[in-house]
Formats: sequence, C-alpha cells, structure tokens
Amino acid sequence: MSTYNLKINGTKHSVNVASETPLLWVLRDTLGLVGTKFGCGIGQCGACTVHLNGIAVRGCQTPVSAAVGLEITTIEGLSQDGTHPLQKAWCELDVAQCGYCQAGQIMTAASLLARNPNPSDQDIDDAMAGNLCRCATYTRIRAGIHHAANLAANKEAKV
Amino acid sequence: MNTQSSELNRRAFLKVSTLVSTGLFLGYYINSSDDAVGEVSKLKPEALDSTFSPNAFISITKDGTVTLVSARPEIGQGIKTSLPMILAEELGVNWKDVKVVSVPLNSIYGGQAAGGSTSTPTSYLRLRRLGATARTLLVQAAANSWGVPAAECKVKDGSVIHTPSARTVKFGDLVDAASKLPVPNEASVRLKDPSEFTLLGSRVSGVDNDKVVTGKPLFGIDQVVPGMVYAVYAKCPVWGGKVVSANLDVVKAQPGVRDAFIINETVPYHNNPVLGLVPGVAILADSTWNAFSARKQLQVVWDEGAFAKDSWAGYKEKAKQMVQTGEGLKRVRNDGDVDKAFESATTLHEADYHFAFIGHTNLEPQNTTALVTGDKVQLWSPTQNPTDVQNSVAEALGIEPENVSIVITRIGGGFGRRLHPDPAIEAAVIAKKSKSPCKTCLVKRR
Repeated sequence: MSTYNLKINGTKHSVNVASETPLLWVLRDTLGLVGTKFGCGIGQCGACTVHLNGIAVRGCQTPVSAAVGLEITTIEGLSQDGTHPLQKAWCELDVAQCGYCQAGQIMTAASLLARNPNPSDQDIDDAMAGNLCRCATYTRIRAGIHHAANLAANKEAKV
Repeated sequence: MNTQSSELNRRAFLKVSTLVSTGLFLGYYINSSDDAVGEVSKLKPEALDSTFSPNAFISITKDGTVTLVSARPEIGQGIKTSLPMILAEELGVNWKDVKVVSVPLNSIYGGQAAGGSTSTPTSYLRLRRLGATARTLLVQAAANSWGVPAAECKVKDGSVIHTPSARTVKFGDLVDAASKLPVPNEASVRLKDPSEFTLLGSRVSGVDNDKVVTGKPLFGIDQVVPGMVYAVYAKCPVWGGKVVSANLDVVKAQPGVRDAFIINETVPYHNNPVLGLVPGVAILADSTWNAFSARKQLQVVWDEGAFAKDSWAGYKEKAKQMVQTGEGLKRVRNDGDVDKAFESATTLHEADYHFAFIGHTNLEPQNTTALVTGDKVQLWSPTQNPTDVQNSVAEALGIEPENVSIVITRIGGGFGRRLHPDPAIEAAVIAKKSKSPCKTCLVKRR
C-alpha cells in the first residue's frame, strides 16, 4: 500500500492503494467515480476508457502508479455540464441503447476529435475499433461523432 | 414444448418460460391476455394529499407536474421512455412536462419483467387504459365545474378545453376535483383513435440519455451501500458439483480480504437443482480489485459430480443416436399432415442443425448489491425478472417474499441471461453469511 496523489477532472485526490491497482478500480471503488465502467478487465472492450493528458487509455490496464502527475479525465469531467459536443450529439441522436459502453465510446471519440476535428468514416472506424458495444450501436456512434464534429465546427465558426 | 402457453397465467408463464427457450415467449406474445381489463382498480396507491393519482402509474400535482411510472427494467430496449409515452399519449400531456420515474418491485404495478421482446405489446393496451382513465376523470372534473357535458370537452397539452365557451383549465387546477370522482370502469373509458396520436409515432430522446453520457450511477454495478464489501463467488465449473476443500487460509491472507468461505448448499430454481444457487467459494474484500486478486490465489478441490464428463461431442453423438433410433424423440409441432406432405414431395432436402452453447456476454458483468437486516433483504438488482429474484432469494434465505425488496436498476445488457436470479441469490446469501452488505461482481477472466 502506498499513497498516490492524483489529479482527476481538475481535482486533487490522495488515495492509499497497492501500486498495481488499476486506475479503473481506484476511480470506481476508492473514489466513487462509477461513470467509468468495468467490462472485461483485460483491455478488450474499452468500457473503462479514460484520458491521461487527453489521450484515451484503458483504465483497467493502467496501474494507478502510472497515472501520477498526469491529468486524468473521466466521463464525469469531460465537460462541466454535459455539453461536450459528443455528449450533445449522443443525446440528440439517441446513440445509446443500454448505455453501458457509451462512457468509454465517448472518451475514445473525444480523444479522436481532439486530434482530428473532422474525421472520415475510416478515421472513426480505426479509432473506435477497440470499443465494443454489445447492443451494436456502431452506426449511430459513427453518426454521433460526425454530428459532434459539426456541432464543434459550427460553434467555432460563430465565435 | 407443447403449445399450452395460451392457458398459462402470467406467473406460470414466467416460471416456465424462464426455464426453456424463447419459444414460449412467442406463444405468450401471440396469446397475450395481459391487456385484459379488470386490474386497473387494484393499481391505486395510497392517496397523497394534493395529488391526483387515479392509479399507480400516474400522478399529477397542483403545480402541474406530471409523474409517470416506468415499471419494467430498462435493458437498452428503450421502454423507460416508450412505456410512459403510451400513458402520456392517452392522458393528453405534453411530453416535455412529464417526469419519468423508475420504481421498485411492487405488485401494484402488475408484471415487471422484461424478456422475449414482450414488454411493449403486453403493456400497450393496459397503459393506454390507465392513461385514458385519468384523462376521463380530469375531463369530467372540468365539465362538472363548467356545467357542460364532458363530451364537449377535449384535452390538449395538459389542459381540458371547452371549445364552445372557449374555456381552458390546466390539469394541475383539477387535482382536487378529479381526486374526488369515482374511478370509472377501465373498459368503459374511450381510447384515442390512433389517428389522434400526437406523441406515439414521434421520435423523442431517451429519458436517461443525459445521465448515460455524463456517467451517472444508473446501473446495478454502480450501486454503493455504506459499509459494503466487494465479493466474488467462484462457482463449481460443473453443474451439480460441490466444494471438497479450498485454501481459504491463503485467500484470507491476501491484501484487503475480509473473509472467505465455502457455500455447499444448493437452492433450486423452479425445481431445477443446477440453476439458482450452486456450490462455490465466496471471497469478500475491501475493493473489487482486491477480491479479484485474491480470487487468483484461490485453489479449490471440486467434486465435479455426475456431469463432469459431459461434452459437446457427447451431446452431438447422443443427438445422432436419438435421430437414428427415434428413441426419446418427441414431435413438437404437427401442423397439417406432415407425413403426407413428405411422402408426396418431389424433392426432399435433409440437413442437421447444431446450435452450440453460447455465452450471453453481457457487457455489464453479473452483479447484485445486497443488504440483509434481520429477516429483511434489500437488493439493487440488474434483473430482467424481479419477481423471480424476490421468490428465489426468499427461498434461499428462508424468509417471506414480501421481505425481499428490490430496486430494479438499469441493465448493461440483458439478452435473457438476466432472467435468471442466480447473481441475486448469491449476493443475498453472501451478505447474510458475512453479516455485511455486499456487492458481488463476476470475474470475467480467471
């Protein structure tokens, strides 16, 4: 057991856990940030996707010790009030079915849009390939990312 | 399976259908009698002051707030949105003024299972009648106050309108008067003609979309009870097996582990000894991760029992033998004259079909949160079949079903797997034995 100082969604947290504990379980069990989901535990489904310095990583494969000193962002901190273009697009297009995978989908998509504001279908498929949806909402996820890209572009154009 | 499903009452239907294939669900779907009238009057809850609540699904307060109940599990099929839409359509309120609430298991809501794609068809007419009954009372209250025939009044966007005199009154202002009227026979109320629908058939956003995209704790696995432990349950890998011994001392010495114990009892599920609670080893820890890590150190000597040598290859061979000898075969359908049709056919096609056992792979791992207090149990359960959870947990703990309370959470994928109550039984038994509230979680990879 060691103490780790983490910065999550802009807030500092100090947790006392074993060094190999995955960030996923620190978020969910230690800190109660349950928006990040446990799906498979082996980095195969993407439900636990969070950002480290803006880059999408698998929370279940990231030891807490590796997240120290980095900006950790979870679905709860993607925006202040649920108005990230992806969150708005997801609501407008009813992307979710059961919704369990969608936090991970949105976090991966957010990382994509940050480096590629206008992705093609192929760009989206390549970036999202590691995020599984058992309800198979893939076509709406793709539409949602395009819609979010448009929302973000229009907002910029207005500014 | 024979075709007696049309004669099954609801409870029998659930009992039987969860044990077999989806075939009976289809039978029930076609022969559904859940739409039948006669239940609505039983659905009236305790009356609340200042609230018009003619049945358990609808309440309207004086400030005009319309609260509609969504009683069945949301699995991603969308019924938390679509079922209240049915109520709202007949009631005549604007969807934007509606607040939708989920409710715990309670017989006042009628059936609360979701399976076999039956929730909407079996709820449709019933919910329409509930909405129309409330509308009828509100219209009557308005008509009485104006001294005009109810037939001259219509409803729109949460108001009753009397066109000839150009008068309008909001539902909220009718709460007291409508609450005093006798609830009419639900069969007598006028349902809208589908051509009058304004909400049904339109596209509305899922009521929990904003919560899904911001990571709110909607799912079973997200529930937290103060002081709870995190548990995993290592079940015998063969149905019908038992625990002979386990290295509990090693497991208990792992970081964060609070307790570990063997459960060697079985609790049958609908008389099937291999469903429900089966023997295994429970490990309780201060976090899911520590429980999972301790699970990796667990070594169990199993008595795998009578089915240890069963195999897919063996089943295939047995099926082949049965087809060849005819022994044990049962004709399940016989529409028309099948034998004659085969005899008179010019070409015969023959094929063998094999359907392998396939996991449901729900993305949300099986889990339940349980709090046992004396002879009462509170469960937070991502179940498609809360009534079966209630009955089977009661049986496992030797308590009355009414002492098992169930919060039905949103479900991260059902696919029929969550029609079975085993995760809830395990959580309740572990919580009782450990004298600690617990959340169980399936380890997907060992």
